[in-house]
Amino acid sequence: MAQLLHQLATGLSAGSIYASVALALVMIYRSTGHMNFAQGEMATLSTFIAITLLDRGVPYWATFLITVSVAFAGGALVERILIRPLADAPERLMVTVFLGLFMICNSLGGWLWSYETRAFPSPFDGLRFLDNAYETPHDLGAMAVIVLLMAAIFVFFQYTSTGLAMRGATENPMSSRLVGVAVGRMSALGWGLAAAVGAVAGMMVAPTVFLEPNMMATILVYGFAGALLGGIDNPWGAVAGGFIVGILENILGVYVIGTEMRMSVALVLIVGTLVVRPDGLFGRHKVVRV
Amino acid sequence: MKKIALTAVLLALAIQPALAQKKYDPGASDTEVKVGGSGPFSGPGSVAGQLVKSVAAYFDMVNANGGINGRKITYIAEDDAYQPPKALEVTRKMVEQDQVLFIGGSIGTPTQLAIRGYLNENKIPQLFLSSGNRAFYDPKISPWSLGNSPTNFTEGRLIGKYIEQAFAGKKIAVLYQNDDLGKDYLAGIKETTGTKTQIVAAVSYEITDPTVDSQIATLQASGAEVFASFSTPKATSQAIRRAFDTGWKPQIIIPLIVAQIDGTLKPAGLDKAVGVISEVAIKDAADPQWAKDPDMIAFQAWRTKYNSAVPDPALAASGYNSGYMISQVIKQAGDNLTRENIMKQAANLKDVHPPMNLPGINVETTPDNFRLARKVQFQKFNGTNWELIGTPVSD
Repeated sequence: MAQLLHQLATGLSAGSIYASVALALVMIYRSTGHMNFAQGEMATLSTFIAITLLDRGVPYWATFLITVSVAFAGGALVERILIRPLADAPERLMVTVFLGLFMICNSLGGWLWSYETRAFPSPFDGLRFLDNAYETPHDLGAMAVIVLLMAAIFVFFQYTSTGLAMRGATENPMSSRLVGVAVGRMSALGWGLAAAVGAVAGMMVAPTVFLEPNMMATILVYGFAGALLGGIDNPWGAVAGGFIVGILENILGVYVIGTEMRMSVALVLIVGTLVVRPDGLFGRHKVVRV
Repeated sequence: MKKIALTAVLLALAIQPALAQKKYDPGASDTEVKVGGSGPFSGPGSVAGQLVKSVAAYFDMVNANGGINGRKITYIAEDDAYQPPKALEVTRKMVEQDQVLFIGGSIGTPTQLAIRGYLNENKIPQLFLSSGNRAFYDPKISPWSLGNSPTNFTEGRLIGKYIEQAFAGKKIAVLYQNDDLGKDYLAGIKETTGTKTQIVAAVSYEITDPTVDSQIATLQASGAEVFASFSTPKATSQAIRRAFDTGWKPQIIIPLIVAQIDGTLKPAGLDKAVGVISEVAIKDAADPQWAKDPDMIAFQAWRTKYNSAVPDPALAASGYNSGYMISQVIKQAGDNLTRENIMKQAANLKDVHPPMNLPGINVETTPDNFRLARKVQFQKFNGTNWELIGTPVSD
């Protein structure tokens, strides 16, 4: 029983890692209609910027704000330089562009910051009142950050006029343009926000998995599974999906299929969701007027 | 007259073998022996390339001191970028264009595995490479390959032996990477434990797993007091930290390749790594106890004069040892510098002490046992550096 509780707890903390990446994926999908494979690598780059600031003695929360701002600007810049000229390109071409971006970010990280594994500090490690046998203070803190982030994204899309304009710009660019929405600016804003969410994810993940250029490579697969399972257009669905993947993977890995097959759980979930319920557990079915 | 003619013929016959004693294959002559090696000088793994550069620097010193048996050693060091296809390309170049006598002193498991087939097919020795993969230590699998490291399997056996000695009556938990590397360690430790100790849990992880937290929870639940972690640096750091954070705090034992303070223990947190035990074979250049050791003095002099471009003292020491081993084989081969004889000499090393090895850590080979490094010293981390514990353990 104690072991089951431990496994549930580690499943939850793994789930919070996946959920944070799933949130960034939801953000980019909601605001651009694309699935950015380089999302994880962009987050890793942001985390490298954060460690550089921390090494220079900048306090944690100042670093946090600077990193998120730099990531936002970087994301918007990528949209301007790389994505905007390809606005009308077919989806297949975009996939190639995203893979290219993935490789550029990955190599850039290794080239500028080296491939060695580095520790990354957590702002929650000092909170000793959170001590317990199951979750570390950082795991609990990261979960809280993710829930806050999820709420913020939900409110942004549901209750702000910018959020509404962004949804409109993705779903029907032509009509949006006609009613005065700056579609191009919305796309840049979406990329910036997704990169900012990714930066938060990176800074929450790095204390647990350590920072190195390939930090996000496999996490992205799990995050993708979580986002799809919960519903790619729905922030709280993606978070729920991330936690479900984390717990399922742990419990199945220990009691049913063995530790060798854990990655397969994520892959089966991706394929299974796409085949059985493409909108995810909590996603809304998209209706298109012909 | 007839008698003289007969004597002359007999004399000629007697001299013949003496003349024929000087035998050369490509890459060897009266004045030179050509040897090639490769490692990553560029790309993600480029740190390890320092070892091969050190081998080259070792031969600069050998040549400055007159070479070996009057022959100059030309050591060709090529960049394989840690990529198997590139390794094969540069190796073929060294063999077919540069005409080296043999390959020696390289580093990198996937790259050396990639050239193993080519070298063995063409009967070209592949000597003293740094890799613990068992393919390089079994004359039945590859009669022309012989590595310089303890194999992962040997290390597993040695760690098991050490646990039996030092932790009798304790229960053991094992974490291992689910591939050749991890499985060889596991097979080794299983063979040498079980009399006074017991492996109560062995759990694998995939190199793609973001964390090993779940595995640590399983191992903790087994009630083990000793925890052997056979993994790459990142997973080892995660395991050390997690075992501490969950309050399990077992005696942790990690293998040679991950026993790096900066690369493995620092990310985990040095305070959380206090008490970790590992193995070591090479003298630590920073340890003051070797300051007056003649081999260490010679090594430091060589570093200043020939190898100042290599910053890592441990990789420099490994390269120095590899250079020494290559020299030993060329020395033993005398004037019979054929590939066959080079391999024969490499398979007949009697109690050789590579200068940078710790006292008592000698190496040995026989034609049917290529596992040359079968002795290690154990060491314990005290929060700032490693302290040697006990006497060498041999297999």
